[in-house]
Amino acid sequence: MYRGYSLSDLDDNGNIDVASFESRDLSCNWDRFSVPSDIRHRPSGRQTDGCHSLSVDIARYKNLATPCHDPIRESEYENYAHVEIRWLNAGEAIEFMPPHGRNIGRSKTAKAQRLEWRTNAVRQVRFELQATD
Amino acid sequence: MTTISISEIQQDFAGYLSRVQAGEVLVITSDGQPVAEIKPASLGYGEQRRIELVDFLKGRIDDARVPSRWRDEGVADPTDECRRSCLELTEQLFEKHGLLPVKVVASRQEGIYLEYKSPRSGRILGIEVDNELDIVAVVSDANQTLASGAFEAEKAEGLLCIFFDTVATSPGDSWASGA
Repeated sequence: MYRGYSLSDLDDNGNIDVASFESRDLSCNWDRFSVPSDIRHRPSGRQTDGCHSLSVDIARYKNLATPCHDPIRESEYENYAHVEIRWLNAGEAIEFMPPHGRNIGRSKTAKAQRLEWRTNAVRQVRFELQATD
Repeated sequence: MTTISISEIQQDFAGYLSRVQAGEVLVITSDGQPVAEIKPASLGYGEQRRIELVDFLKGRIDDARVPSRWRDEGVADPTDECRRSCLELTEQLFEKHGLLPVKVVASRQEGIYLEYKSPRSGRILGIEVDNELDIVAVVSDANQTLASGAFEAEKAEGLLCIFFDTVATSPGDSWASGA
């Protein structure tokens, strides 16, 4: 999956910062149906954005989240490759597709698990396209 | 500056001492001649260093602001309460363990993310203090995450043991990798 980032998402060493990951559904593009630069054309995209990629395995780390195909239907964005990585609740099967925008767990345990998920993700992402000023 | 005789100060030493603590300087005289001064003690090296450290940490925490791009997306800055909680935590970690954060940044989770690196084990301790004042942490090394959980009381001590690599077990009832 391709995820857009900007320079403000990088730490001093040029790595994706753990603190930069969204707490809600993570918006990505499927690599099968898009190229990295497509993320610059997403609704919130900018021409200066970079792109990094995450595998499905990373998204499903410890069954905490899973990718869900979620086509964007607005006619002005022909971004059929859109996918969201959504958080799973404890006990939900990895194949389950959580609905878009549902509330996520606010317990300390859930927050700690999401921090662990993000920590694991940032060490494994691969840069596909560099962000610029 | 107040001049008093030896006999006067002997009559109410505690009272005069409290005046000194409040900032007054006393000149003690014997037969009308000044022989000694009593003045407030200057801050010791340790106390002065602690004050400087708190100022340093407070500066870094105050500087943690969400980038304008995130603000445009609706991400809020850390609240004052979050910053205070963060400062208290960083002071405790320094005083108890001599730890200083290598990273202090605003988080998209609406709070502050701190990162510590153990000089001995090389492990990373990431701590997030959010605007709901929840504090959670994860310990990782170069290859994998090792443990995570709420960063409070015994659980925090357990996570710190893993961070320092002083025990091999997971902390309290938090969940460790492989669980």
